[in-house]
Amino acid sequence: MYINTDTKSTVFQTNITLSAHIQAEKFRRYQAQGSKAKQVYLNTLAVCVAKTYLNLIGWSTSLSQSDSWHPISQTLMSVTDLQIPGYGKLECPVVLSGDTKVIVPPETWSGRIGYLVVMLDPSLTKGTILGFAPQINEPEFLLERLKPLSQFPTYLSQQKRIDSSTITGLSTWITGALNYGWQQLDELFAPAMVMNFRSSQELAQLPSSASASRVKLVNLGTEPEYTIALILNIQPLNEKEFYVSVKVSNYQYEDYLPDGLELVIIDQDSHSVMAAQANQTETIEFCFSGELEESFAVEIALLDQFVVEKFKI
Amino acid sequence: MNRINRFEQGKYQILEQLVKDLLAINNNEQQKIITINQIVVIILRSRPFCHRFKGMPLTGIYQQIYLQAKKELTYQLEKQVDAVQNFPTAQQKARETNLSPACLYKLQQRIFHKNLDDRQLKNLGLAAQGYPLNSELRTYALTELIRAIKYSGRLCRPHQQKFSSHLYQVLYEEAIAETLGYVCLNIDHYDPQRGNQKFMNWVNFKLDKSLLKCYEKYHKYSKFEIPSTENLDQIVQETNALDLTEILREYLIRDSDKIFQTTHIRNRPDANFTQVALAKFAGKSWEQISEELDIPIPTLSSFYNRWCRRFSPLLDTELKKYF
Repeated sequence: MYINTDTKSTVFQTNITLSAHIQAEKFRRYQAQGSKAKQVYLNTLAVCVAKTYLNLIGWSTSLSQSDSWHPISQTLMSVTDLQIPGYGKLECPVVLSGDTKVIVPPETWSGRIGYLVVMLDPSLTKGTILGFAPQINEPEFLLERLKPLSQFPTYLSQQKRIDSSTITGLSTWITGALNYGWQQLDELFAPAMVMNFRSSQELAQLPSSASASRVKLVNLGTEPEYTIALILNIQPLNEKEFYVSVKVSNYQYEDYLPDGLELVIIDQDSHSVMAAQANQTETIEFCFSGELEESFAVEIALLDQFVVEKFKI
Repeated sequence: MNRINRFEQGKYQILEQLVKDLLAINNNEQQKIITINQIVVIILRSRPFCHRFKGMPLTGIYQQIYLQAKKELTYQLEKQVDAVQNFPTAQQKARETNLSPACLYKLQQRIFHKNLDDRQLKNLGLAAQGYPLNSELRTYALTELIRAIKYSGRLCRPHQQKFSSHLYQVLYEEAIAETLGYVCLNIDHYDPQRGNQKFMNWVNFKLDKSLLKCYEKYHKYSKFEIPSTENLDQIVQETNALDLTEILREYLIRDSDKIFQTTHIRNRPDANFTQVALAKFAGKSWEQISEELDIPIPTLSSFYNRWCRRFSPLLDTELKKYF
């Protein structure tokens, strides 16, 4: 086996394993259309080559969390993403020997922490990582514009770790708990405004002493960057059941939410169960009830950016 | 490639000149030491492992390995020079070949190889453990470790007699790849007290297990032939093969809960998820879809992207029975 992990060298080359081929064949068989089948096969090999490289430089990868490893996503999109747990997705587009540019489909232009371009030889026995690009948002990218792979470990180690494991427990708010990153409404807003941020159920039912609200500020968008207030309220309905309200507003009071901002509620099976989009809207609010210990997530998205907050009642 | 060869040639020329100078030095110990040092430093630049991290001076185990090799190389060089100078002129030529650049590089390789015992490998492994996960230094230390493991020739060749040599080669390469990946990802789990306190026992234990696992996989898929890019174009799908595109298309059109057709681009109910997905399935390019719907590509692809992400858990659950 020839592995070129020389820090001085600008490429990485490895044999493509039999396991990679077997997996590629399994995925290929879901596709009846010739060109799509071939694309899925080559994409799978590219992701495997990138995985080998990343593991050898000490970075763990999660295939099961990668779209490129799911036949449904492979069918919907042309993806070669590889998830690095806690950091994000790398995209590993394929080129064949002799290509001078790499084709990067628009569905992979966003939500990536970088692009590793993988070249496969005609016999599909060797894969070479030619270099990387921090960002690509054009359909064709000249290979000569790639940065040398020797700079990739530095680039990767500078990526921010996203801690997505925190789950905020809502019912503890009622007894006064305050989670990191969350604030009481009156800490952030003037008393008159706090009234405005009351959830509709609170207003309808007169807030009981058992009700609790917290706010978290979330930044989204670039130029301009918006500060969005995510406000959650919880109220006991009976012993087991709780009312939950999830609301987003622009932090600058009385300003509209940025047009196109989406609020999505995701249930414990990862299904998006409620979604709404701002269009000259001041606030979006969702109310639902749930049982103790039930979990859900809230996604706030603006174009290609999104944040996800996880909760447990 | 040419540039590299020219670079090598240049290096050889410099070395040859330095050796010539060295042999011409008479009764000047100081000058001799300086010249030998120059030669040794040039040779060590091509050392098989123990490179610098971002051009910074070596430290710790890397420095130790380097200095040990340097000392031995210097000693050997002194010995060779003495040998040449102490022989009658007629035999000097033959002796001088021992001082040719090629021989000196080989000598370096022998020294590194000889010194690379299990203790040194273990120290390289422990050095990697010492750097934080996902740091540049961890990457550096792992790269050095892997290079040293391969250079040491201490990777075992388990179960060799059980397979034909061709099959063994395939399995072995696969098992090595898996093992080295495992070593890099699990270096923090390496316990220097276990495996008779031998580092390579830890590595080789995994290699042994990997090889058998690879055989199992190979055996199960023995009929499978690796295609080339050309063959991939010619493969004819079995007629009763599953077509996930068709299954998805039908599912999206049926849309019993009306979720896909009600998910649309803002103010454009006609540009809904089903529309975009079906256009993609039909093989249309983003440019074509963009033109047909009169919506810019970034808006379209970003919408499609977001909803593919959000719908895929649902689609996975709903269509599970097919795969």
